[in-house]
Amino acid sequence: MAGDRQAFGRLVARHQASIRALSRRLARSASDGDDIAQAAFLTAWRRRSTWRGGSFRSWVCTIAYREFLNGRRAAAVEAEIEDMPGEGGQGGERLDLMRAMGALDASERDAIALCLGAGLSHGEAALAMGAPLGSVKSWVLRGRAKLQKALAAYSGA
Amino acid sequence: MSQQPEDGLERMFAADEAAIRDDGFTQRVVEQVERADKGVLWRRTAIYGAGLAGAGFAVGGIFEMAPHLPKMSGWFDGVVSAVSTAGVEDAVQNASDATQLAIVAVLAGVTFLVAAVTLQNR
Repeated sequence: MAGDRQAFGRLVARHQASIRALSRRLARSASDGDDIAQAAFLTAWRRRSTWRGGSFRSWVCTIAYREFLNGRRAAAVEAEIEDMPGEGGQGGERLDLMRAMGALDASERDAIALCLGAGLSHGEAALAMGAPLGSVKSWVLRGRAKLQKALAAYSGA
Repeated sequence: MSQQPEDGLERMFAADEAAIRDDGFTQRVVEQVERADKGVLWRRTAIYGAGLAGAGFAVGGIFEMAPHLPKMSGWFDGVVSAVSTAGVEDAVQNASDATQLAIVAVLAGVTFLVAAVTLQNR
């Protein structure tokens, strides 16, 4: 059991940034996002026997998304961007990305966060969101276009 | 992100993710996992204990009632003769007291087992 926990701890250390980034984008708040990520890892540990193999990160991303839906969406207030720390010296770009994400429709934001942000395939995102594949593709396409327009100042976005 | 960013947006997402430092997050998760495991241990002990106690009462109840139950050999002979003379319906009626007790005990055990397995996986 202790060995399992150590191995799980290594997985958490490897994937925490991905899961926290996804959760923060969904919750639009660093502290709420970290709470969601923490709850997602705990749920993953408790339900580890149900993991069917494949990508651990995708599995925990899906759990994090459901944790978010289960109680945090209601608490997601208008972009609390002052809550996002300016780590890494790229605060301006990150803040603008968060603002642009905040301006998207909820479905577009979720689909973009899962597909572009967390790297899930459209199929995985559709499964996580409980939505038709075509809708997810459409949300990603529309969300991407809106983000590219909003972030045109950053070359190549 | 393990993949190479394909365009400016994905580069921005990757940079956003790369800027997130661990800052004790992993340690907090591992501590929560340890606490959760301790909780599961207590719950499992309580459930298995209750299950054992229930099974004990069930077995004790059988022994307690044994003197009042028909002897199995006589009961079996009774069933055979009842089947041959009075038909299957009457035989089932005669056998019901003993079999009901056994069925209830087995159901109680299965219920405890299912509850324990379900709760420990939560």
